[in-house]
This record gives sequence, structure tokens and C-alpha cells, in this order.
Amino acid sequence: MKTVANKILFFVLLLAGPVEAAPQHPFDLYDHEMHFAFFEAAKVPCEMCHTTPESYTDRTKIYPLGCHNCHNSSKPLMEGATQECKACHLSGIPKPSSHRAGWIEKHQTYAKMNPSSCNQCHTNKMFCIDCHGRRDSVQQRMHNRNFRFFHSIEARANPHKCDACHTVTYCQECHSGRGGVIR
Amino acid sequence: MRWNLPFSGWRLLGIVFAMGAVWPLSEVTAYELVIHPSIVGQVRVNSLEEQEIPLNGYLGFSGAFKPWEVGLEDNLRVFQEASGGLDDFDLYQSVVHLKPTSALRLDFGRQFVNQGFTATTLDGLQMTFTPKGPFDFVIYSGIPRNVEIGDFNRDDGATAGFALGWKVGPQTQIRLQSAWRRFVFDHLDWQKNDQVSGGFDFFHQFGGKSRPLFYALAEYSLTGNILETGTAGLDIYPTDALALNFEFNYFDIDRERDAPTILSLFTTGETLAGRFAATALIIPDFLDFMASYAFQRIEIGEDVARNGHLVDATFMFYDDDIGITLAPGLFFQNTFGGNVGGVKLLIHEQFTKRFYASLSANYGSYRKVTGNDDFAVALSGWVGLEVAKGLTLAAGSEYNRNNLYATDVRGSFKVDYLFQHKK
Repeated sequence: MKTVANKILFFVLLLAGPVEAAPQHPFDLYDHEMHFAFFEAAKVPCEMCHTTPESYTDRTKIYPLGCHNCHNSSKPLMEGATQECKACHLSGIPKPSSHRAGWIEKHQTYAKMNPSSCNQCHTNKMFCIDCHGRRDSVQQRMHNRNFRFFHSIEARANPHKCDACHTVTYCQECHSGRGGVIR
Repeated sequence: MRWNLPFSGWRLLGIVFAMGAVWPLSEVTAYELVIHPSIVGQVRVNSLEEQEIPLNGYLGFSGAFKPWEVGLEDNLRVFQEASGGLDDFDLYQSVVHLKPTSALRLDFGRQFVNQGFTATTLDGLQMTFTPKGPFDFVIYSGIPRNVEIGDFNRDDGATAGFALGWKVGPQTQIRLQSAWRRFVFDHLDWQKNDQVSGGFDFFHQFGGKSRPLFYALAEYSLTGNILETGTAGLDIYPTDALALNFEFNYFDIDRERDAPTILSLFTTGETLAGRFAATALIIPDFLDFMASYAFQRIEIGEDVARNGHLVDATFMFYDDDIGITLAPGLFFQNTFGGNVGGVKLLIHEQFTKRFYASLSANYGSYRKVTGNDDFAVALSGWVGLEVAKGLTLAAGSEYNRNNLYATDVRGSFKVDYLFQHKK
């Protein structure tokens, strides 16, 4: 019985594969002493990262984007800071918190504020064009397949939103009777 | 859109490729190349019961060459609809980037420009200056384009503008923009044919546990003497698992100018809007919940306004270990155009790095103010396999039921190749 159990355990472990180490948080790699020497010389305030008193004792309260003032910045506070994301983000580059609640609707204000900040991750402008300009008559990725049948309802809620990607000419292709075959 | 120049889209493809073949790569010590062509096609029967096979061919090309700080990006679509030939063509970008100094970047050609007001495609020049210190400066000039109107129209007008950014502190940024737009290049009526706008953006990240971020945006038409956009919003993170967004908007438009927009056609006055959105990480790295509610009030006549309500809610289940994403959701909209409610579902399974399958479903039942009541169903499935490094083949199928088709079945295919090389 013990032998059978051991064999089962062996095969389970074999199928499970090697145990991977837990991904390291960027703060695990952070050398505070080294950075502090730089900051003191350049008169960079502690508050750049320690935005709350609790952050001095609880690293989960540290402002996570404080690092980006030097790293992954078009204008680093100090020259020579590495711009390679994977130097710290070993388990993958996380999405900014701003990309969570209501991002699709509100991103225009962020993008207008600092267009170069988008380029930090989205290096090819085709990323913007993919939604704002690219046309796809086959997959119709931007609006789901049914949108054309009730788009008049949403258009009457917020016609300004249509202007972000479409011109009046686009509407007239169907609505003036000049359109081609309906698909 | 049909392209009016005398030579074919295939010749232009050749020119675009030639742009990327100029540099003697053997002399370059560091470079990065990406070539990304793809073809998407579908076999379907249109509402006149004619079979058609529309094709969309996309080509993306980008290169960066380190010693000279030079880069270029090209993206275009060649497509064939039922009635067109292969010369139908969209050029999305064809731009050369130069960085002669660490603080100066020049972008020439067709490019996507987002310096306030509207995001637009521009044939021209953009210069970005980022000296040491808290300021950055952008200036641009050229001809605005839109593929819906045509790639190289003679009467797309002209535009020029600048933006000045100021990083006041680690948590505060301000940006000022101004732009001039002429709608028809040789038409001299500055009140109706020219627009001069000014705007500003403001961001401030507060301290505290919830790290609230306040943002504001205003855009004013100086020629029309009218505030066209006003936005104020707040992002707040009460806990690590909860993100909230509150936003208020004001929209209006100068209706005197000879450049109609969808907003100017649908409304006679201002639009007021408010939105609340939330994302909750219910189980981290496994289950998220996203919801939003938006309210709009638009003026459609003299002292006549109508309200609109939009609701959307989605659960997102995902497990990176087994490669599955499952997103059921619902939506509801009620405006003076009618109301629609429905459900949606997306399932994506990445079985292995090279093999995936996805399924999407959408059901909407609507009642329009025109008396048109109906429902629409759309089901779509795809299966894709990377058969060689960078080369993915995919096949799909669709089923649709709507007020055009009692039963509509379509077959789709996709060939996608991604080549990346870095030295």
C-alpha cells in the first residue's frame, strides 16, 4: 500500500513539473542604500516615492510609479538610469492602475496630457491606430457584429463619441441611400 | 476607400518597402526590425443572395537603427470588397523618426498625432523637444487625413499646432495646447473655414491611502467663441483590489463652421454627461468585475433635451496557468433613440503557446423610437495554430440572426506572419 502510494505520489510530482519560484516583486530587487546616495546628491525628495507616512514602514504603501521618474522615462531625473522594463519587472510588465476603471472612456484625457507616456509600453503608434483608424470589414473588431442594428440608440446618447473615429461621410455611406449592398 | 491616384496600390506597397530597404544593414551595429503582414478573409452571402469573398490585407513594418537614432513605421491595408478591386487602399502611417540629439525628435510623413483636440492622422512633420528640466514642447504641421474620406484628397485642408507640457512636480502636470485648422485649403472664409482652438490639461495625484488622481481638460474654440470640451475626473483606489472612476463631461461645438461632425448633426446645443466606473479584483489573478454607468443629457432642439443611460457589467475569469479567459457580461442602453438590452460572452483558451481557440457571443434585444423592435444574435468562433515561427493560420465561423438575415452563416480565415529581429 505504501509502495503504491509512493508510486502515485511520484507520478503526480512528475506530471506537476518543477516547482517554479514565486515571481519577484520589483521592490525585492531594489537597493535602497545605493539609490539613497544618488537621491541625496541630486536633492531628490523622499516624497517622490514615500507619498504617505505609512510608506516608510509598509512597502505596499509606496507610490509604485515613483520609480518611473528615472526608469522608463523620456526625461529621467538622473542620467544613466536603466530604461529596460524587464530589469525590474521579471514576471511581466503590469498594467498601470489607471487602466482599470473606465479606461476605454477616459484614456483620451490621459493620452492628451502626456502622449509620450503611452509610448513607454505601446512603442508602435499602430497601437492607437488599431482602434482609431484601422478598418476591418471582416471581423468588425471595434463594435460587435450586432452594433449596426441598434447603433442608433447609443449614437443618440453620445454622438460626440462617434466623432472620435468616424466622419459624417462614413454615416452617409449607408444613410444617404448611396451605400453598396447591405451585409 | 477608392484611391484616386493613377498608380495601383501594389506599386505604392513597393515604394513603402523600398523605404525600408535603403539602409545598408551590414554597416549597422544595432537595429530592430518588425515585419507584420496578415490577411483576413471571409466567405459569405450578402443580402442580395450573392456570394462574396472580401479580403483585408494588412502590412506593418517598423525598424529602428540605433547608431543613427533613426526609425520608421509603415502600416497599410489593401482590401477587396464585393465591388472593388485590389487597388482599394488605406495608408495608416508611413513615418520616419529621427533623433538628432537626445532632446530633439523629428517625425516626418504620415503619422498619428495626439496633441489635444482630436486624435488625427497627419501628413506632415512633428517636432518634439524635451530639454532637461520640467518642460517639453511639441510643434506639428501638415495635412490632416482620414481614410474614410480618402488617402490623398486634394481638399483635406491644413493644420498646425503646438503643445507645451510642464511637470510642476512629481505628482502634478499641466499641458497647454493650441491648434489651427483650415478645412478647405484655398477657401478664404476664416470664420467658417478656419478654426483656432486652445486647451489645457491638468493632472494631480494626491497622497494618502487611496491615491486619488484628479484630472481636468478644457478645449475652447477661439474662432467660434465656444467651449467645446470640458472634462473633470477623479480616479480613486480605496483598496488595492478596487479602482473607481468618476468623470463629468461637457461637449458643444461651433456650428457656424463648414465642417459638420456627428455631434453637430445630432444636437443643437450642449451635452452634459457623467460617468461612474469600477473595477474590482474579487479574486486576484482569477476573477475581476467591471461595471460602468453613464448618463448623458443632450440638446436636440430649442429648449428640448433628452437623457440617455448606459450600463455595462462584465465578469472576467482568467487563469494564466491554463490559459483561459472567460468574460460574461450584460449591457443596457436607454436613450431617446430607444432602448436595447442584452448579454455577451467571450471565451478564449490558449491551449499551448501556439494553439488557441476563442468563442464570442452577443445577444441584443432592442426597441427603437421608429417602432422597429427586434433582436440580434451573433456567434463567432476562431481556432488558430502557429504552424511555423511567427506564422499563424486561423479559421473561423459565424452565425448571425438579425433583421437582415434570418440565418446567416459565414466562414472566415486568417493568415498572420510576425517577423521580429533585434541585434
